[in-house]
Amino acid sequence: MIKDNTIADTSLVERIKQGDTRAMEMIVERYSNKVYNLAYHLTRDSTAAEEIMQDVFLTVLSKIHTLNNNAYFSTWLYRVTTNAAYAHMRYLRKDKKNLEDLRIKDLGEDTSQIYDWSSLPEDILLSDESKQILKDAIDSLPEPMRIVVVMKDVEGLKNEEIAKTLGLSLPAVKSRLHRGRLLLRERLSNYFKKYATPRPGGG
Amino acid sequence: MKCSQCIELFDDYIDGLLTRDTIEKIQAHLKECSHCRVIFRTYSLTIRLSRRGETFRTLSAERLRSLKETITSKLRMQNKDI
Repeated sequence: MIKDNTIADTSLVERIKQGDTRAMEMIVERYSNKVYNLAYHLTRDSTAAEEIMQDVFLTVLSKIHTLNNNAYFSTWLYRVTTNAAYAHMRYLRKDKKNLEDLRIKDLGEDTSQIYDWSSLPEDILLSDESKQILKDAIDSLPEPMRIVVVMKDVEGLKNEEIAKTLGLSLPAVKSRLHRGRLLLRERLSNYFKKYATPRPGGG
Repeated sequence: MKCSQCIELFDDYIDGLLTRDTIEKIQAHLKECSHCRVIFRTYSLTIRLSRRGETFRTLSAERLRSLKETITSKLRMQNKDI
């Protein structure tokens, strides 16, 4: 899990600003996976994500001098990525229109069929099939929730970072995250409930 | 505390953002309400499963390496022009 973080982003960014190609390569090494994943989850298109990833780093190099505070590099990078993905999808307007239409009041309040799958063994929880279910569930989240869930729970960004990147208020980020997680939880519950009544041997 | 109020606070509870008073209320509710307890456990586990990066690794290591090389060579060319 721990990546090579021996050189801080801030000093790499400073070196890039001075034209140091090696520092740029280290930034590519450090962030390419994150940039790709973010682009992929936004576009749900692996070819687009690859293109976006390349564009993002070229943009980084050409625009890095506009970054005022080097400490905000990662936030800035995610914003560049998000913008590139949105531009690619031409999604932005449509999504913004839908943002306030999210009415998911009853999530988690359905008292029927409540099954505690948290105690299932790891080989079930982490099976290829359940991973695929979770991945599909994330992919099918409504756009505003998906991006926040991906940034926070998959990529490990902080709420504040997400808010800045997406130009959202902190409560808006939290609300989308929470609702997105509840939706995912529900999807997983539907999937895992087949394990609810194990009957070895049967009969 | 109602079930819906309790569930609404799960994210802040997990992130450790609540006052002691609210934490105690949530814990008391979870103790007596098996429904919310299950939701809480599975909600927490949903987050943990999402955090397992390999679930979402859609790019092969080989493809990633080749993309990095492409990017790096493009960057080198671009850097010369700046």
